Amino acid sequence: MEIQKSNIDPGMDEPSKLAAQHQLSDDALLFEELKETLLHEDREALRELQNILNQPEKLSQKMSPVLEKRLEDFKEAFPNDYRAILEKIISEKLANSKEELLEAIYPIMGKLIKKYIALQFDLLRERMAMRNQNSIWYKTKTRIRAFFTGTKESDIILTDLMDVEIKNVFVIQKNSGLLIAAAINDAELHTDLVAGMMTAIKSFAEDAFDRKGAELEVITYDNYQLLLENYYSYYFVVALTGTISSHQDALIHEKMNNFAARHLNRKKVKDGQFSEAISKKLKDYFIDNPKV
Amino acid sequence: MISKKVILTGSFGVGKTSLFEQFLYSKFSQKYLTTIGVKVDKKVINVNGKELSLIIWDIAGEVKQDKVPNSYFLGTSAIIYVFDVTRKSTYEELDQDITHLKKMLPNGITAIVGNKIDLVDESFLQELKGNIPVPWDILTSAKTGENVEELFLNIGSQLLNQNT
Repeated sequence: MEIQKSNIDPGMDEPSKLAAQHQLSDDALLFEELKETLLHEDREALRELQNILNQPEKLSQKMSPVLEKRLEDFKEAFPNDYRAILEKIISEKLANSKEELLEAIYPIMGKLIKKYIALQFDLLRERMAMRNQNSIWYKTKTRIRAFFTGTKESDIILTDLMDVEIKNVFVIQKNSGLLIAAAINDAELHTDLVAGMMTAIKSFAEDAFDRKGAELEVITYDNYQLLLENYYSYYFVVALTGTISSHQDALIHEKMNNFAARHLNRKKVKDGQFSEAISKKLKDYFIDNPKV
Repeated sequence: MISKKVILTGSFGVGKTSLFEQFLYSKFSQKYLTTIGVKVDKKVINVNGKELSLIIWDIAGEVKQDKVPNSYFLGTSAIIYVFDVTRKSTYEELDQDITHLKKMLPNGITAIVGNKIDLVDESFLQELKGNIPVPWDILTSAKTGENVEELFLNIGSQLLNQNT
């Protein structure tokens, strides 16, 4: 453009100007022809490339083999190139979720073990019941109890057969003894204190006898029993009346495991703060259906 | 409401239970009843408009803190270590006891409390200040109630700050 401008002098007369302009268009045409000659091959290649880019089918035809090759290479190289990174990510994830995993596994493990034990107890109980049905020992024992207590024999037999009834249930944070949830029959009961004292007694018993990994599972007084089920970061206490059979014991533990699996997760119990929502569920699940 | 576990510990006869009873029920008894095992109670305090439930564990006195069952310290947010300002044997190994407690509760609050100040005068306390292995945080009298409320409110305030 600079060349074109320099060819037309502003001081020229009109015919000279026209001649110059004519000369200019001739030059431009020649220049264009020269460009076409020199750049022909490049322009063809560019057009072809644009053509491919604008048509997905053609693009796909060209790219697919390349991508497939890359994918194959990636598949082959993946175990070697990324194993270390993946292992690091997985082990970090597992380490961070250790507590959550344990929290989830505990009730399931407990359920399986308890189910097996319950089944074994059922079989044992059936055998015992058959043996005791006409046992002289049971009849004699009942007569002696009736004689010394002044109670009718029939009443003693009835008491022996009396249903077990769940009175109070607590979910307590294991270490701190802070109450997470409670469902109680007795409104006068100081639930926080029960939770604290239960934890203190439990800690004392477990420390005093130094049984590695062993945990307190039952406290009995009079016809009252406290059944404990231990989980990773919390534990359950079910207070009940009546004489509990091994089968009923297994059933209550199963009930605790079911509740734990359904309603208690790490997020809910980690802070150790009291939850009205869990307490309501405890009441529905245990207290409103107290018979075992 | 936020709940926090607080432990009262120290040698026997330093007035842990008296501090506990003074704070919880505003009462003091001259009778000495040794604590067996542990006693747990609860008090809701109000710190700057926020309610906090303190679950206080009054632990049986031990001459050395490493004799206290470790499980008692689990899940604890604060430890109140009490010594008797009139009995040297209750504070002469204070540094070792505090080191042990800080090991048990590395991120928790530890308060050192000198109790029974109603039995001594100011000059005695000045002298004690120079002889004690670790400085105390607060001096109290479970008998008169002096600084008892302040002690627990201060702990409560620190616990709430920790929580935010």
